[in-house]
Amino acid sequence: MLILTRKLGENIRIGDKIKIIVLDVKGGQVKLGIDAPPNVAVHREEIYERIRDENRRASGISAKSLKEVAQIFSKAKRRGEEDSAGSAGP
Amino acid sequence: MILRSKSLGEIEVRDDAAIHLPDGLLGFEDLRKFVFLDVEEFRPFLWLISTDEPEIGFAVADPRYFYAGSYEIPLSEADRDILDCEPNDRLSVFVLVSVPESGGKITANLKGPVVMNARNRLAKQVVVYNPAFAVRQPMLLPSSITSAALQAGNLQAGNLQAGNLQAESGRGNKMHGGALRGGSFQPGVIQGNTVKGETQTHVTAGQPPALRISVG
Repeated sequence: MLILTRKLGENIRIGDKIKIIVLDVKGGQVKLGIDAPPNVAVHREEIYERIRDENRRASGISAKSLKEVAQIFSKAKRRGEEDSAGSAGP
Repeated sequence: MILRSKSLGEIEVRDDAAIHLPDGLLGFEDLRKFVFLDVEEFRPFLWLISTDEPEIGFAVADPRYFYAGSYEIPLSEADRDILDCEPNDRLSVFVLVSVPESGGKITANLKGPVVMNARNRLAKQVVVYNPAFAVRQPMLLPSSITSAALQAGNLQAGNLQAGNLQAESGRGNKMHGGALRGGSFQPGVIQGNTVKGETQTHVTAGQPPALRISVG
């Protein structure tokens, strides 16, 4: 990994089109400004991690438990439809 | 194409039912090709099965089963590049569902919805920052879905209709209104576009909660 030391207000360039600026350093936090073309995705790492973890969790789904949930859902839906049909009637 | 999955058995799928995720799903970056599987006993959920590794499957659903308000998905230029978006393309949205084995809440990941271009079946998991949408968004009670969406006839089991994916013109990036408007979406089969022109919308009284894709 390339490691660079920068002072407040100094920049880093990545290629021709991406610029990272150190805007503020305070109490263990660094505020960065990022200039990048719109076709470059810039996200905080944590959000990727959370989605990745949830994807892994979702991939563990079993056919058995999904079927159970689907059954509960269909029953509740039918009940809801009967209720609303009943209340709409005379 | 025949897929063999331990939990679902042998599945025959049409080749044109495949969808392509050039970036994969986060954590599953190597799996690029999936198929939708619509089996009655699992509705309203669909299976999204990897054709490379059929043991890996996800349950997916229409996000409106999980959020009653307006679900907004920002689509960056990077996302649109991946989806190879052109004006008048129809985009569909689905979310990955988790059902804990121990009987906890059924949730869907509204932070990482998958957006698919119906024209070319290119799809991408996009990142939604809005804190209103959680990685584990609990499923709505069927009663509230029934009243809000199902009665409008727009959300049928197994038929993930994209509903109202209306593009909002973003800064400097004019995709005129209706450019990304959603048509209907059936797993494996993309129906003909029922929405044409800019004036026509799906919006009727008792409309389902809006799905909105913003372009910026």
